[in-house]
Amino acid sequence: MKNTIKIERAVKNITQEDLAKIIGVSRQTINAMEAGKYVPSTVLALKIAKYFHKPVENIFQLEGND
Amino acid sequence: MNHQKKLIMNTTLQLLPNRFKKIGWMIFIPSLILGVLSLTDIFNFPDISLPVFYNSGFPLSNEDSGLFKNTEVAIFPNLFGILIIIGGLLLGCSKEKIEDEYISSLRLRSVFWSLILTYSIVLILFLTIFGTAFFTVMIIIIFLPLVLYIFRFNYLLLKK
Repeated sequence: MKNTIKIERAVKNITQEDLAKIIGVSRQTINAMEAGKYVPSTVLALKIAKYFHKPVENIFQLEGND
Repeated sequence: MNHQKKLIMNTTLQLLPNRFKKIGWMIFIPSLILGVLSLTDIFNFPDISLPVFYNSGFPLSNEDSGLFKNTEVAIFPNLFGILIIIGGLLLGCSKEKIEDEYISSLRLRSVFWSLILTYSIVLILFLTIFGTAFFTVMIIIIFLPLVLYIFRFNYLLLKK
């Protein structure tokens, strides 16, 4: 699964640390998701989408091997 | 909101508060260093005769074996071992400042990694080492799963 968290973050001009604080997770979690090393739970994906005011599918997309 | 909080809690483990981690480090690191030193001949730690709960005796000694007997105890290596376990458990079982689902997954991965590595080492030792050295090595191996888990988990946390 790929995601556009990094792009959305750039649009809002906030750091990984800021986003982590707002969502209520650790900075490592945001970093791991952006690097594609961690697939978040549904709850976390929904919270991120809610913060960026976008549907989940706009931020998280399936890839060929999923 | 309350419902959401509950869901997140379900994905993480029940652990001790974060402040125990600092206490854990303060007990774990000194006792680990002293424990390793006690394996070498750098310091000579004296044995002390103490009443123990159960003394199984050694094959060639004529000591009394059984419950509540006095025996020579290598008191310092014993103490270091106890402190490594106490410090290690505090460290390994306390929360990070923000304990979320990704941190929990790192924990699981570290425990699994240390389990596989420990038993790989045990397997090699079973195949290669015989005699009394085997028992000495096995005593050290007992600490390995906890020690490896702690170092692996904290390495994964700090790694960029």
